[in-house]
Parts: sequence; structure tokens; C-alpha cells
Amino acid sequence: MHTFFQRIHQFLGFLLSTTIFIIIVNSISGLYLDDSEPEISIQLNKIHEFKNNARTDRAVIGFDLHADFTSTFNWNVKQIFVFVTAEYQPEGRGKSEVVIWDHIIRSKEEAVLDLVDQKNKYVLVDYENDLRGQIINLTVNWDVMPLNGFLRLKKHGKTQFTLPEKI
Amino acid sequence: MKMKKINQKILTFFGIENTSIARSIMKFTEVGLVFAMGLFVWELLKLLMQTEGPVVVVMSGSMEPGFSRGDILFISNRNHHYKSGQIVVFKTTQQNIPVVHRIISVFTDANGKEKILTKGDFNKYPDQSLYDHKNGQYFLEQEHIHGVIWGYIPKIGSLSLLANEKNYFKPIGFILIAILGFFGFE
Repeated sequence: MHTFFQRIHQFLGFLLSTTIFIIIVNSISGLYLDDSEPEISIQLNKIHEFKNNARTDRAVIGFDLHADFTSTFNWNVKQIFVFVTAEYQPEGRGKSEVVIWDHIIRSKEEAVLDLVDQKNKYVLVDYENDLRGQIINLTVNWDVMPLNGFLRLKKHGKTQFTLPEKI
Repeated sequence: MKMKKINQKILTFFGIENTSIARSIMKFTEVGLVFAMGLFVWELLKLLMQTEGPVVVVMSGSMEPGFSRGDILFISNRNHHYKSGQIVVFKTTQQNIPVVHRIISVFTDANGKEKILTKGDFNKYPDQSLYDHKNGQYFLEQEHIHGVIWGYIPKIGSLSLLANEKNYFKPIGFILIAILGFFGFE
């Protein structure tokens, strides 16, 4: 004999276990489907501005970025958060990094980036104003954000330049 | 049903015949087992991820379109070195609700301490206004950060948001669970 509540209970139990199963399988599939290396190249175009404003050195640069994330998209990718970091190692201090630009790619159709002389979205400043004469590494990073499952941070494509000693 | 057999054994062990009382006890143990299982998974996550709160429900739209209200995020506190691009959960003295935002700068100061700046993907400006800037806090430090987001399940947390925001939801939910739990098992 099955009562009304037993049927509901059975149904909900089955729904729950199937959902959990699908979520787990989909999460793992996302990891295995993602074995491609997107092609990425980044280059400094020019240093537009290196100024002292309110006692802080601020740099505005332009970079050229070519990237093709088409192959990164699979059924478990919701969006790709692409960002460019400036990494440097000030003397007597540890490594520091600043995100200078970011962009969200939401579909395969938008997955090719071709930027020429793209200026930073976020100004390059240092915590202790140590930017002068600093060797800066520009790196392309991306965060693959899933429909469900694991977030994956990756980086690739380095280019180096030196900020001027004098302003 | 394996579980039924085990319960039967427990009942006979305590010398209880399979009467209606015995059946009620059985139902309680079954409901209890389900709760215990949930608790077990929760505690296991806490242990593995070394955090008191291994799961958080997104409360605001500041990380749109990546995370929306009601999405569930999994947190790990195993690594205390942070890098930009990571999405972290932090609390400041300014406000008590945990915030989930992305790291956009990591500086190391002269003492080797990490100074961290965050920003919501949907927000235009960094989070400095969320920090305790009246007391000179313009950056986050390790102690403010509760963990890094490593996993994501959409929407399921909406139930908990409803429970927190609508007063009628909690009692109804409890009654439903109680009815199903008690009458639902065979």
C-alpha cells in the first residue's frame, strides 16, 4: 500500500538523488572536457602616461591582446572572466600584482579578442609608491566559471617592460 | 530495503515487537539517519576545507552575471596566500555580512604582509567603501578573508534566502518536512 505522502516522498527522494548525481557528473565532466590551451599573445603598445598625482605615481599603458577562447567553451562553461595583471617585485618587498583590465566572455561567439592599444581599466598604482624603474610583467589570466562545478584559474602569455626611472 | 532490515535488527535487539510503536520508532530512526547523513557531509566539508562555513549563499547581485542571488558557493580556507582573480569571502569590522568578491590587487608591504583589494564583477569601483576606511583600512588582510570560492551550484540556495526573508516560509517548511518524514517512509 502506498499512501499519498509515500508517493511524494519517493518522488522527492528520487528527484534529489538524480539532481545530486547529475551535478556531480557534470562537475567532473567540466574538468575532463577542458584540456585545450587557448592561443594568447600580449604585448605592450606604449606607455601613455606615467604621472605623479596626489603624491602617488600612476601609470596608464596601452597593450595589444590577441586571444581565442573558443576551444575553452564546453557544455559546462557559463562564462570566462579574462583579466590582465601587472606583476612586479619591488626591492625589499614581496611580489605584487594589480589587475589592470578585465572582460567577461559569455559565449563562443564573443570568444575571440583582438585588442589594439587597449588602455587599462584600472589605474596601475603601487601600495608603497614603488613603481619607478620597475620591471612589469603583463600576464593574461582567465577564470573559467562553470554552470555548476569547479572554478578554474589559469594564466598564460607574458610580456615584460620597464617603467621609466623619472617622471 | 537494507535500511529496513537493519532497523528490524535494532528493534529485535531491544526486544521490541513489530507493533505500531516499533514502527514509529523505526520512522524516527530513518528520519534521524537522513539528518545524520547531511550533518556528516557538512562536517566532512568543514574538516577538509578547514573552515567553519564551507558553504555560502549569494545574497546580492554584485557578482552578476557569474553569481546570482540564491546560488550556492563552496569555500576553502586551506591556502592563506591569495592571488588576483580569486573570488574570496570576507568580513570587515564595518559590516557583519560576509561579502563574496574578486581580488583585483595583491600587494606585499615592507613587512611581508599581503594587502588585498577586492571588487565585485558587476560593480564599477573597488570595495574600499566597504572596508573600515574611517579607521584607515583601505585594504583587506589575511585575517579578514574567510576563504576562496572553489565550487558553484546555481539557484539551490534560493530556499534558504526565502526562509530568511519570508517569515511564513520556515514554519511551513518544517511542517512539510515533518509530515513527509513521518508519513513518507514505507
